[in-house]
Amino acid sequence: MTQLDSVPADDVALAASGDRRAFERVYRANVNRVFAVCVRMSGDRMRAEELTQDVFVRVWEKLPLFRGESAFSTWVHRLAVNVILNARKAEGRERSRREPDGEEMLEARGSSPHHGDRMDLEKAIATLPPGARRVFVLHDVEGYTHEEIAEMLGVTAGGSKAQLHRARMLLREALGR
Amino acid sequence: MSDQRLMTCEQLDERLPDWLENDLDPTTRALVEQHVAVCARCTALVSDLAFIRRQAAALPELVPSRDLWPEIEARIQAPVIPLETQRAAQPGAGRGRSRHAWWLGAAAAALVAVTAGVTHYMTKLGQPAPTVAVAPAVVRTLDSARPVEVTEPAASLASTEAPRTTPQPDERPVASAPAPVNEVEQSEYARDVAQLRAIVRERRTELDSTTVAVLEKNLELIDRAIAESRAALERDPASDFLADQLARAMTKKVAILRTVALLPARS
Repeated sequence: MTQLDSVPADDVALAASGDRRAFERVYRANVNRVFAVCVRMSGDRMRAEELTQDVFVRVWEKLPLFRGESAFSTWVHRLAVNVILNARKAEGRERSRREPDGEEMLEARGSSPHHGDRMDLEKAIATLPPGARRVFVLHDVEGYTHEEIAEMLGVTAGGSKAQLHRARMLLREALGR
Repeated sequence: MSDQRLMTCEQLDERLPDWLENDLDPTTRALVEQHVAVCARCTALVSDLAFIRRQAAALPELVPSRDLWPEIEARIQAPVIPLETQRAAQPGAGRGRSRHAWWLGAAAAALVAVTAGVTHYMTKLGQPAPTVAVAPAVVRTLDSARPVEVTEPAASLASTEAPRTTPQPDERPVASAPAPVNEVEQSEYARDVAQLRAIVRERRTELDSTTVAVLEKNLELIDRAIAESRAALERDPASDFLADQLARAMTKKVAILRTVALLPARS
Protein backbone atom coordinates (compact mmCIF):
# COMPACT_ATOMS: atom_id res chain seq x y z
CA MET A 1 0.00 0.00 0.00
CA THR A 2 1.42 3.36 -0.88
CA GLN A 3 1.65 5.92 1.87
CA LEU A 4 -0.69 8.81 2.41
CA ASP A 5 0.83 12.22 2.78
CA SER A 6 1.92 12.78 6.31
CA VAL A 7 -0.18 15.08 8.46
CA PRO A 8 1.30 16.87 11.47
CA ALA A 9 -0.16 15.44 14.67
CA ASP A 10 -0.89 18.98 15.83
CA ASP A 11 -3.14 19.56 12.84
CA VAL A 12 -5.04 16.36 13.54
CA ALA A 13 -5.55 17.36 17.19
CA LEU A 14 -6.58 20.89 16.27
CA ALA A 15 -8.98 19.63 13.62
CA ALA A 16 -10.46 17.14 16.10
CA SER A 17 -11.20 20.03 18.42
CA GLY A 18 -13.08 21.85 15.68
CA ASP A 19 -10.39 23.98 14.01
CA ARG A 20 -11.43 24.17 10.38
CA ARG A 21 -8.17 25.74 9.17
CA ALA A 22 -6.27 22.79 10.61
CA PHE A 23 -8.78 20.48 9.00
CA GLU A 24 -8.17 22.16 5.65
CA ARG A 25 -4.48 21.29 6.02
CA VAL A 26 -5.44 17.71 6.86
CA TYR A 27 -7.64 17.69 3.77
CA ARG A 28 -4.93 19.07 1.48
CA ALA A 29 -2.40 16.55 2.74
CA ASN A 30 -4.71 13.64 2.01
CA VAL A 31 -7.04 14.64 -0.80
CA ASN A 32 -5.11 13.19 -3.74
CA ARG A 33 -4.74 9.83 -2.08
CA VAL A 34 -8.39 9.70 -1.10
CA PHE A 35 -9.48 10.90 -4.53
CA ALA A 36 -7.40 8.19 -6.17
CA VAL A 37 -9.08 5.41 -4.25
CA CYS A 38 -12.48 6.97 -4.94
CA VAL A 39 -11.76 7.10 -8.70
CA ARG A 40 -10.50 3.55 -8.86
CA MET A 41 -13.22 2.06 -6.71
CA SER A 42 -16.07 3.89 -8.44
CA GLY A 43 -14.66 3.91 -11.97
CA ASP A 44 -16.01 7.45 -12.43
CA ARG A 45 -14.05 10.66 -11.83
CA MET A 46 -17.11 12.87 -11.40
CA ARG A 47 -18.62 10.52 -8.86
CA ALA A 48 -15.22 10.25 -7.22
CA GLU A 49 -15.20 14.00 -6.56
CA GLU A 50 -18.52 13.72 -4.76
CA LEU A 51 -17.33 10.70 -2.83
CA THR A 52 -14.16 12.53 -1.85
CA GLN A 53 -16.25 15.32 -0.36
CA ASP A 54 -18.35 12.78 1.52
CA VAL A 55 -15.20 11.13 2.83
CA PHE A 56 -13.82 14.36 4.28
CA VAL A 57 -17.14 15.36 5.82
CA ARG A 58 -17.15 11.94 7.44
CA VAL A 59 -13.54 12.39 8.59
CA TRP A 60 -14.55 15.70 10.16
CA GLU A 61 -17.49 14.10 11.92
CA LYS A 62 -15.44 11.23 13.25
CA LEU A 63 -12.25 13.08 14.14
CA PRO A 64 -13.15 13.45 17.83
CA LEU A 65 -13.26 9.66 17.95
CA PHE A 66 -9.78 9.19 16.47
CA ARG A 67 -7.68 7.79 19.30
CA GLY A 68 -4.41 7.29 17.47
CA GLU A 69 -4.62 3.52 17.68
CA SER A 70 -3.55 3.38 14.04
CA ALA A 71 -1.67 5.84 11.86
CA PHE A 72 -3.92 8.75 10.95
CA SER A 73 -3.41 8.10 7.24
CA THR A 74 -4.48 4.49 7.69
CA TRP A 75 -7.55 5.59 9.62
CA VAL A 76 -8.53 8.09 6.89
CA HIS A 77 -7.97 5.53 4.19
CA ARG A 78 -10.10 2.90 5.87
CA LEU A 79 -12.82 5.44 6.47
CA ALA A 80 -12.68 6.43 2.78
CA VAL A 81 -13.12 2.82 1.72
CA ASN A 82 -16.11 2.47 4.07
CA VAL A 83 -17.75 5.59 2.66
CA ILE A 84 -17.23 4.33 -0.90
CA LEU A 85 -18.58 0.87 -0.15
CA ASN A 86 -21.57 2.23 1.74
CA ALA A 87 -22.39 4.61 -1.09
CA ARG A 88 -22.13 1.73 -3.51
CA LYS A 89 -24.58 -0.33 -1.47
CA ALA A 90 -27.10 2.49 -1.28
CA GLU A 91 -26.75 3.18 -4.99
CA GLY A 92 -27.05 -0.53 -5.68
CA ARG A 93 -30.40 -0.63 -3.92
CA GLU A 94 -31.58 2.31 -6.00
CA ARG A 95 -30.22 0.91 -9.27
CA SER A 96 -31.60 -2.56 -8.70
CA ARG A 97 -35.06 -1.06 -8.75
CA ARG A 98 -34.41 0.59 -12.10
CA GLU A 99 -32.07 -1.54 -14.14
CA PRO A 100 -29.87 -4.64 -14.07
CA ASP A 101 -26.60 -4.33 -12.19
CA GLY A 102 -23.64 -3.19 -14.28
CA GLU A 103 -21.88 -6.39 -13.48
CA GLU A 104 -24.84 -8.48 -14.53
CA MET A 105 -25.03 -6.55 -17.78
CA LEU A 106 -21.37 -7.19 -18.49
CA GLU A 107 -21.76 -10.86 -17.77
CA ALA A 108 -24.95 -11.10 -19.79
CA ARG A 109 -23.02 -9.80 -22.77
CA GLY A 110 -20.24 -12.26 -21.97
CA SER A 111 -17.82 -9.47 -22.54
CA SER A 112 -14.58 -8.44 -20.98
CA PRO A 113 -13.32 -4.88 -21.04
CA HIS A 114 -12.38 -3.70 -24.50
CA HIS A 115 -11.55 -6.96 -26.20
CA GLY A 116 -8.13 -6.79 -27.75
CA ASP A 117 -7.68 -3.07 -27.19
CA ARG A 118 -4.48 -1.94 -25.66
CA MET A 119 -5.05 0.62 -22.96
CA ASP A 120 -3.34 1.82 -19.87
CA LEU A 121 -3.99 0.13 -16.57
CA GLU A 122 -5.91 3.06 -15.13
CA LYS A 123 -8.46 2.99 -17.93
CA ALA A 124 -8.60 -0.79 -17.90
CA ILE A 125 -9.44 -0.84 -14.19
CA ALA A 126 -12.39 1.49 -14.84
CA THR A 127 -13.83 -0.99 -17.32
CA LEU A 128 -13.79 -3.96 -14.95
CA PRO A 129 -17.07 -5.32 -13.62
CA PRO A 130 -17.76 -3.57 -10.28
CA GLY A 131 -17.18 -6.58 -8.02
CA ALA A 132 -13.88 -7.52 -9.64
CA ARG A 133 -12.79 -3.87 -9.72
CA ARG A 134 -13.40 -3.35 -6.02
CA VAL A 135 -11.40 -6.41 -5.03
CA PHE A 136 -8.58 -5.62 -7.47
CA VAL A 137 -8.26 -2.04 -6.21
CA LEU A 138 -8.43 -3.02 -2.56
CA HIS A 139 -5.91 -5.84 -2.93
CA ASP A 140 -3.45 -5.01 -5.69
CA VAL A 141 -3.58 -1.21 -5.51
CA GLU A 142 -4.33 -0.51 -1.85
CA GLY A 143 -2.71 -3.54 -0.29
CA TYR A 144 -5.54 -4.96 1.80
CA THR A 145 -5.51 -8.69 2.55
CA HIS A 146 -8.24 -11.04 1.37
CA GLU A 147 -9.42 -11.38 4.96
CA GLU A 148 -9.77 -7.61 5.31
CA ILE A 149 -11.51 -7.35 1.95
CA ALA A 150 -13.85 -10.19 2.85
CA GLU A 151 -14.86 -8.34 6.00
CA MET A 152 -15.35 -5.05 4.18
CA LEU A 153 -17.37 -6.50 1.33
CA GLY A 154 -19.25 -9.15 3.27
CA VAL A 155 -17.86 -11.99 1.17
CA THR A 156 -15.56 -14.90 1.93
CA ALA A 157 -11.79 -14.68 1.57
CA GLY A 158 -12.07 -17.35 -1.12
CA GLY A 159 -14.61 -15.24 -2.98
CA SER A 160 -12.30 -12.26 -2.79
CA LYS A 161 -9.46 -14.35 -4.16
CA ALA A 162 -11.60 -15.59 -7.04
CA GLN A 163 -12.70 -12.05 -7.93
CA LEU A 164 -9.11 -10.86 -7.84
CA HIS A 165 -7.99 -13.53 -10.26
CA ARG A 166 -10.89 -12.76 -12.52
CA ALA A 167 -9.97 -9.07 -12.46
CA ARG A 168 -6.35 -9.75 -13.27
CA MET A 169 -7.26 -12.01 -16.17
CA LEU A 170 -9.68 -9.42 -17.57
CA LEU A 171 -7.04 -6.73 -17.21
CA ARG A 172 -4.50 -8.88 -19.00
CA GLU A 173 -6.90 -9.18 -21.89
CA ALA A 174 -7.76 -5.49 -21.82
CA LEU A 175 -4.12 -4.55 -21.85
CA GLY A 176 -3.58 -6.74 -24.90
CA ARG A 177 -0.91 -8.78 -23.24
CA MET B 1 -2.13 -32.39 -4.02
CA SER B 2 0.49 -35.12 -4.10
CA ASP B 3 0.26 -35.95 -7.81
CA GLN B 4 3.83 -36.13 -9.10
CA ARG B 5 2.95 -36.04 -12.80
CA LEU B 6 3.71 -32.91 -14.75
CA MET B 7 0.83 -30.47 -14.43
CA THR B 8 -1.27 -29.57 -17.47
CA CYS B 9 -2.09 -25.97 -18.45
CA GLU B 10 -5.69 -26.48 -17.33
CA GLN B 11 -4.52 -27.73 -13.95
CA LEU B 12 -2.21 -24.79 -13.66
CA ASP B 13 -5.04 -22.38 -14.47
CA GLU B 14 -7.03 -23.85 -11.58
CA ARG B 15 -4.19 -23.47 -9.12
CA LEU B 16 -2.81 -20.19 -10.34
CA PRO B 17 -4.87 -17.95 -7.98
CA ASP B 18 -3.63 -19.88 -4.94
CA TRP B 19 -0.09 -19.98 -6.29
CA LEU B 20 -0.06 -16.22 -6.76
CA GLU B 21 -1.26 -15.81 -3.17
CA ASN B 22 1.31 -18.27 -1.79
CA ASP B 23 -1.51 -20.49 -0.62
CA LEU B 24 -0.34 -23.81 -2.09
CA ASP B 25 1.28 -26.65 -0.22
CA PRO B 26 4.97 -27.13 -1.10
CA THR B 27 4.36 -30.14 -3.35
CA THR B 28 1.72 -28.47 -5.49
CA ARG B 29 3.73 -25.30 -5.56
CA ALA B 30 6.70 -27.22 -6.94
CA LEU B 31 4.50 -28.77 -9.63
CA VAL B 32 3.19 -25.39 -10.69
CA GLU B 33 6.68 -23.96 -10.90
CA GLN B 34 7.92 -26.99 -12.77
CA HIS B 35 5.17 -26.52 -15.35
CA VAL B 36 5.74 -22.79 -15.68
CA ALA B 37 9.43 -23.40 -16.30
CA VAL B 38 8.75 -25.51 -19.39
CA CYS B 39 5.50 -24.03 -20.79
CA ALA B 40 5.74 -20.86 -22.90
CA ARG B 41 2.01 -20.14 -22.60
CA CYS B 42 1.99 -20.36 -18.82
CA THR B 43 5.28 -18.49 -18.48
CA ALA B 44 3.74 -15.59 -20.40
CA LEU B 45 0.59 -15.74 -18.31
CA VAL B 46 2.44 -15.65 -15.01
CA SER B 47 4.73 -12.89 -16.27
CA ASP B 48 1.76 -10.78 -17.39
CA LEU B 49 -0.06 -11.16 -14.09
CA ALA B 50 3.07 -10.23 -12.18
CA PHE B 51 3.42 -7.17 -14.41
CA ILE B 52 -0.16 -6.13 -13.65
CA ARG B 53 0.42 -6.53 -9.91
CA ARG B 54 3.55 -4.41 -10.04
CA GLN B 55 1.87 -1.75 -12.12
CA ALA B 56 -1.14 -1.65 -9.80
CA ALA B 57 0.97 -1.26 -6.69
CA ALA B 58 2.80 1.65 -8.33
CA LEU B 59 -0.24 3.59 -9.52
CA PRO B 60 0.11 7.26 -8.60
CA GLU B 61 -2.16 9.51 -6.58
CA LEU B 62 -4.74 11.39 -8.63
CA VAL B 63 -5.70 15.05 -8.52
CA PRO B 64 -9.36 16.17 -8.62
CA SER B 65 -10.27 18.45 -11.52
CA ARG B 66 -11.18 21.23 -9.07
CA ASP B 67 -10.61 22.30 -5.51
CA LEU B 68 -13.16 20.38 -3.43
CA TRP B 69 -12.40 22.23 -0.20
CA PRO B 70 -14.96 25.08 -0.53
CA GLU B 71 -17.82 22.58 -0.79
CA ILE B 72 -16.47 20.48 2.06
CA GLU B 73 -16.02 23.57 4.20
CA ALA B 74 -19.60 24.62 3.54
CA ARG B 75 -20.74 21.22 4.76
CA ILE B 76 -18.79 21.29 7.99
CA GLN B 77 -19.58 24.79 9.20
CA ALA B 78 -19.66 24.47 12.98
CA PRO B 79 -18.10 27.49 14.65
CA VAL B 80 -17.58 25.91 18.03
CA ILE B 81 -13.90 26.39 18.71
CA PRO B 82 -13.62 29.92 17.37
CA LEU B 83 -16.03 30.98 20.14
CA GLU B 84 -13.50 29.91 22.73
CA THR B 85 -10.79 31.67 20.77
CA GLN B 86 -12.91 34.80 20.64
CA ARG B 87 -13.47 34.60 24.34
CA ALA B 88 -9.77 34.48 25.03
CA ALA B 89 -9.10 37.30 22.63
CA GLN B 90 -11.91 39.53 23.84
CA PRO B 91 -10.48 42.49 25.79
CA GLY B 92 -11.78 42.36 29.32
CA ALA B 93 -13.56 39.13 28.64
CA GLY B 94 -12.67 37.65 31.97
CA ARG B 95 -14.28 34.50 33.23
CA GLY B 96 -16.77 36.32 35.41
CA ARG B 97 -17.99 38.66 32.72
CA SER B 98 -18.41 36.17 29.95
CA ARG B 99 -19.36 33.21 32.04
CA HIS B 100 -22.86 32.89 30.64
CA ALA B 101 -22.23 34.51 27.30
CA TRP B 102 -19.66 32.10 25.97
CA TRP B 103 -21.35 28.87 26.78
CA LEU B 104 -24.63 30.20 25.49
CA GLY B 105 -22.80 31.21 22.36
CA ALA B 106 -21.37 27.73 22.11
CA ALA B 107 -24.79 26.20 22.60
CA ALA B 108 -26.00 28.40 19.79
CA ALA B 109 -23.13 27.15 17.70
CA ALA B 110 -24.22 23.61 18.39
CA LEU B 111 -27.62 24.38 17.02
CA VAL B 112 -26.20 26.33 14.12
CA ALA B 113 -24.07 23.33 13.28
CA VAL B 114 -27.15 21.19 13.07
CA THR B 115 -28.92 23.79 10.98
CA ALA B 116 -25.98 23.88 8.60
CA GLY B 117 -26.06 20.13 8.21
CA VAL B 118 -29.75 20.10 7.47
CA THR B 119 -29.42 22.98 5.05
CA HIS B 120 -26.77 21.02 3.22
CA TYR B 121 -28.97 17.99 2.80
CA MET B 122 -31.95 20.09 1.85
CA THR B 123 -29.88 21.91 -0.74
CA LYS B 124 -28.55 18.67 -2.13
CA LEU B 125 -31.98 17.21 -2.44
CA GLY B 126 -33.45 20.38 -3.86
CA GLN B 127 -35.98 20.59 -1.05
CA PRO B 128 -36.96 23.57 1.03
CA ALA B 129 -35.75 23.51 4.60
CA PRO B 130 -38.28 21.93 6.92
CA THR B 131 -40.28 23.88 9.43
CA VAL B 132 -38.51 24.36 12.71
CA ALA B 133 -39.70 21.75 15.13
CA VAL B 134 -37.95 22.05 18.45
CA ALA B 135 -38.59 24.66 21.07
CA PRO B 136 -36.22 27.50 20.29
CA ALA B 137 -33.40 28.28 22.64
CA VAL B 138 -32.93 31.95 23.40
CA VAL B 139 -29.28 32.72 23.75
CA ARG B 140 -26.98 35.69 23.94
CA THR B 141 -23.92 35.79 21.85
CA LEU B 142 -20.56 36.75 23.22
CA ASP B 143 -20.35 39.99 21.33
CA SER B 144 -23.85 41.19 21.95
CA ALA B 145 -26.26 41.33 24.82
CA ARG B 146 -29.11 41.16 22.31
CA PRO B 147 -30.95 37.88 22.62
CA VAL B 148 -30.68 35.75 19.51
CA GLU B 149 -33.30 33.15 18.85
CA VAL B 150 -31.74 29.97 17.65
CA THR B 151 -34.00 27.35 16.25
CA GLU B 152 -33.28 23.73 15.74
CA PRO B 153 -34.81 21.96 12.77
CA ALA B 154 -35.17 18.45 14.11
CA ALA B 155 -35.42 16.01 11.28
CA SER B 156 -38.93 14.99 10.46
CA LEU B 157 -40.30 15.81 13.86
CA ALA B 158 -42.76 18.46 12.88
CA SER B 159 -42.13 19.06 9.27
CA THR B 160 -45.23 20.36 7.58
CA GLU B 161 -43.89 19.29 4.25
CA ALA B 162 -45.84 16.54 2.55
CA PRO B 163 -43.67 13.44 2.16
CA ARG B 164 -42.55 12.77 -1.38
CA THR B 165 -42.10 9.14 -2.23
CA THR B 166 -41.16 9.67 -5.86
CA PRO B 167 -37.61 10.92 -6.39
CA GLN B 168 -37.36 13.96 -8.61
CA PRO B 169 -35.21 13.74 -11.74
CA ASP B 170 -32.57 16.06 -10.40
CA GLU B 171 -32.30 14.41 -7.02
CA ARG B 172 -29.08 12.74 -6.06
CA PRO B 173 -29.40 9.41 -4.33
CA VAL B 174 -29.14 9.47 -0.56
CA ALA B 175 -25.79 7.75 -0.94
CA SER B 176 -24.13 11.01 -1.84
CA ALA B 177 -24.64 12.19 1.71
CA PRO B 178 -22.55 10.71 4.50
CA ALA B 179 -25.62 9.21 6.01
CA PRO B 180 -25.93 5.96 7.95
CA VAL B 181 -28.37 4.05 5.81
CA ASN B 182 -27.22 0.45 5.74
CA GLU B 183 -26.21 -2.23 8.20
CA VAL B 184 -22.49 -1.55 8.17
CA GLU B 185 -23.02 2.16 8.52
CA GLN B 186 -25.66 1.69 11.19
CA SER B 187 -23.30 -0.45 13.20
CA GLU B 188 -20.63 2.24 12.89
CA TYR B 189 -23.23 4.80 13.78
CA ALA B 190 -24.22 2.94 16.94
CA ARG B 191 -20.58 2.77 17.95
CA ASP B 192 -20.07 6.49 17.30
CA VAL B 193 -23.17 7.42 19.25
CA ALA B 194 -22.13 5.24 22.18
CA GLN B 195 -18.66 6.78 22.25
CA LEU B 196 -19.95 10.31 21.94
CA ARG B 197 -22.58 9.68 24.59
CA ALA B 198 -19.86 8.47 26.93
CA ILE B 199 -17.89 11.67 26.32
CA VAL B 200 -20.97 13.81 26.89
CA ARG B 201 -21.81 11.86 30.06
CA GLU B 202 -18.31 12.45 31.39
CA ARG B 203 -18.58 16.15 30.61
CA ARG B 204 -22.07 16.58 32.00
CA THR B 205 -20.96 18.21 35.24
CA GLU B 206 -18.70 20.62 33.33
CA LEU B 207 -21.55 21.95 31.25
CA ASP B 208 -24.31 24.32 32.22
CA SER B 209 -27.38 22.42 33.34
CA THR B 210 -29.74 24.51 31.17
CA THR B 211 -27.67 23.80 28.09
CA VAL B 212 -27.63 20.12 28.92
CA ALA B 213 -31.39 20.12 29.46
CA VAL B 214 -32.10 21.83 26.10
CA LEU B 215 -29.79 19.54 24.21
CA GLU B 216 -31.10 16.42 25.90
CA LYS B 217 -34.62 17.44 25.02
CA ASN B 218 -33.59 17.82 21.39
CA LEU B 219 -31.85 14.47 21.45
CA GLU B 220 -34.99 12.89 22.86
CA LEU B 221 -37.02 14.32 19.98
CA ILE B 222 -34.49 13.12 17.44
CA ASP B 223 -34.49 9.65 19.03
CA ARG B 224 -38.25 9.60 18.67
CA ALA B 225 -37.94 10.62 15.01
CA ILE B 226 -35.39 7.86 14.46
CA ALA B 227 -37.66 5.28 16.07
CA GLU B 228 -40.64 6.42 14.00
CA SER B 229 -38.63 6.37 10.78
CA ARG B 230 -37.29 2.90 11.55
CA ALA B 231 -40.79 1.60 12.23
CA ALA B 232 -42.12 3.18 9.04
CA LEU B 233 -39.20 1.74 7.05
CA GLU B 234 -39.99 -1.73 8.34
CA ARG B 235 -43.46 -1.33 6.91
CA ASP B 236 -42.20 0.19 3.64
CA PRO B 237 -38.54 -0.83 3.13
CA ALA B 238 -38.44 0.47 -0.46
CA SER B 239 -39.26 4.05 0.45
CA ASP B 240 -36.40 6.40 -0.42
CA PHE B 241 -38.12 9.15 1.48
CA LEU B 242 -38.22 7.18 4.72
CA ALA B 243 -34.63 5.99 4.31
CA ASP B 244 -33.61 9.58 3.74
CA GLN B 245 -35.52 10.81 6.78
CA LEU B 246 -33.91 8.15 8.94
CA ALA B 247 -30.45 8.99 7.62
CA ARG B 248 -30.96 12.68 8.29
CA ALA B 249 -32.14 12.15 11.84
CA MET B 250 -29.25 9.81 12.60
CA THR B 251 -26.69 12.15 11.08
CA LYS B 252 -28.14 15.05 13.04
CA LYS B 253 -27.94 13.15 16.29
CA VAL B 254 -24.25 12.52 15.76
CA ALA B 255 -23.74 16.18 14.86
CA ILE B 256 -25.40 17.33 18.09
CA LEU B 257 -23.51 14.88 20.27
CA ARG B 258 -20.26 15.81 18.59
CA THR B 259 -20.86 19.48 19.16
CA VAL B 260 -21.81 18.95 22.79
CA ALA B 261 -18.68 16.88 23.26
CA LEU B 262 -16.72 19.89 22.03
CA LEU B 263 -18.53 22.57 24.03
CA PRO B 264 -16.25 24.63 26.26
CA ALA B 265 -16.51 23.73 29.93
CA ARG B 266 -18.44 25.95 32.33
CA SER B 267 -15.86 27.73 34.39
